Amino acid sequence: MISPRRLFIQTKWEFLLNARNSEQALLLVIIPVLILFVLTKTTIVGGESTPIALAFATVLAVSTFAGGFTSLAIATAFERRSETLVFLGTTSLTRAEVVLAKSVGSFLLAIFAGVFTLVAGLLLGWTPTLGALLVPIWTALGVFSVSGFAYLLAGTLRAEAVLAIANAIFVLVLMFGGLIFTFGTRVTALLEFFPPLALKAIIEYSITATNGADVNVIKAILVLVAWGLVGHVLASRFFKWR
Amino acid sequence: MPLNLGHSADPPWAVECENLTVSYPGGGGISEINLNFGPGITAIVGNNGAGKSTLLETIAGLRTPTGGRLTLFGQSPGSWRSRGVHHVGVALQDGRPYPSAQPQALLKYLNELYGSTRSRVSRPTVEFLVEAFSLTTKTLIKNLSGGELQRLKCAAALVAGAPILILDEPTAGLDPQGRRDLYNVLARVVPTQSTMLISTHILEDLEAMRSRVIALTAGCVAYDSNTSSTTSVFYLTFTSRANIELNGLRSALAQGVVIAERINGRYSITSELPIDAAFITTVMNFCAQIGAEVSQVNVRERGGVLAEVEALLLEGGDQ
Repeated sequence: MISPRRLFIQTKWEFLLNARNSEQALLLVIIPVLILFVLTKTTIVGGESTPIALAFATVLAVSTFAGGFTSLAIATAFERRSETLVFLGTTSLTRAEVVLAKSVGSFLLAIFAGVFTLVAGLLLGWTPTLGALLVPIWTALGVFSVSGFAYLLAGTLRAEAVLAIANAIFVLVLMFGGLIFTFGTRVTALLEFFPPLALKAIIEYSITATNGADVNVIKAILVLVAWGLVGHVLASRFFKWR
Repeated sequence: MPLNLGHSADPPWAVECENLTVSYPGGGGISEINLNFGPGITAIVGNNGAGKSTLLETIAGLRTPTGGRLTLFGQSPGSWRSRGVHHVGVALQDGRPYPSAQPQALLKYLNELYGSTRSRVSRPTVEFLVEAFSLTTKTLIKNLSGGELQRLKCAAALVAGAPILILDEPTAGLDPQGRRDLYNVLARVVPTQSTMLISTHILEDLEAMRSRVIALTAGCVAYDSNTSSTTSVFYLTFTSRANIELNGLRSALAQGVVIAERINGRYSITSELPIDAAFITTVMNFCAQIGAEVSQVNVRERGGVLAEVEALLLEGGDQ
């Protein structure tokens, strides 16, 4: 049974604790805003500057991945090491509430980071479209798609290993995830079956398109849902609380 | 400690373990524990690996029994939990929860979390707990000293206002003064109607607690002071002049004492009742009346709970 009141209190506590963490600021705000600036104001990537709307979609996908996977995995792993998770097991919280509060907290962190990105985007000349209102929904879906794997990593490996692996995956996604650097058609088609590029595709479509749903967007949504289900099923099977 | 004898008209025990078993793949755990706990303090003692933490963590709902039955106030922990009733406040031995938070912030968050929880005992305020456990520090939890951390864990266990309180090795790593201070605070702040289970491997703690004592060895109950007929014998020895009139001293004291002059001027009094200050005063007053100066007074206890538990633990060694 999930109590909305307990869930709210736990989410608020998790969010405030994480938001005060300086490493989170680097991961969720500074790096994404830096990427936004580099993409739109320099020609370092691909020899030409990226249109602001596309860069905005890229950066939102990056910060969502950072919050929903990298931050969540590292924070959960260290909470497991400090036995914070066991401590929570002695409170009135149910396990579902503990996990849900973490996921919702990550979503809020991604939204929090998104606000900074939005402000940076506006300063760089982006004009928001009506489709931008859907971005929080896509962010939630993006967090869902990767948070299960964050729990899987955090719940099975030592905290130091999780720190190294989660950061390495983040860098790999930045470099080879198809978000910043583009690859050939075949590689891109393959990368679209992974959450970062699928999420970017949905956000990009949402803030730029004026027509109805696109078949690629539906495919991207299905990709995110599938990854989310697989990740959470695996996490619920293998996650160790201590 | 009030004892519930299990008649149907009586309220159920706070904690009832019936053949409670928790097995681990690599061995260890607890085996067929039959214990009931009611209001008051119970000390669980045992060597490392004896099953103390397993028993307490199972009662706390952190471990699932592999056999037997566990009930809290007559119902399974799961059924209470599903109804949003929180019965157990826990301070675990290991861990440093939320290391990047401040102690007071953690207590305030827990207080908010338990805000709507139904409880049988009144919940202490955060301000009261901060004051009682001296937790006014702004230091982050990761930087707290061992003593501060133990006090914080105890305060966090109490903030729920749960009728059952579990403290797993709360004095681990504390010096004797720190242990005394912690027990003094607990004696002051824990409601008398609470059922408090404390594990320890420090036998001196038992004297401070004056509680029911349960000793575990190899996951089984080896001793329970509630069901064992352990008796103590108390000795008073003193030095005075030789040939004191012992019949007169016997008359001055309560019946059932044995008085003997061991060697010239060295006397020994054996009693089945504790020898307190009034007892000693009676002896000294009697001797003063007959002009015999008393010196080198010494009181000792032989046998009793401590001696029995110590013998069990020494016999068992580390499991």
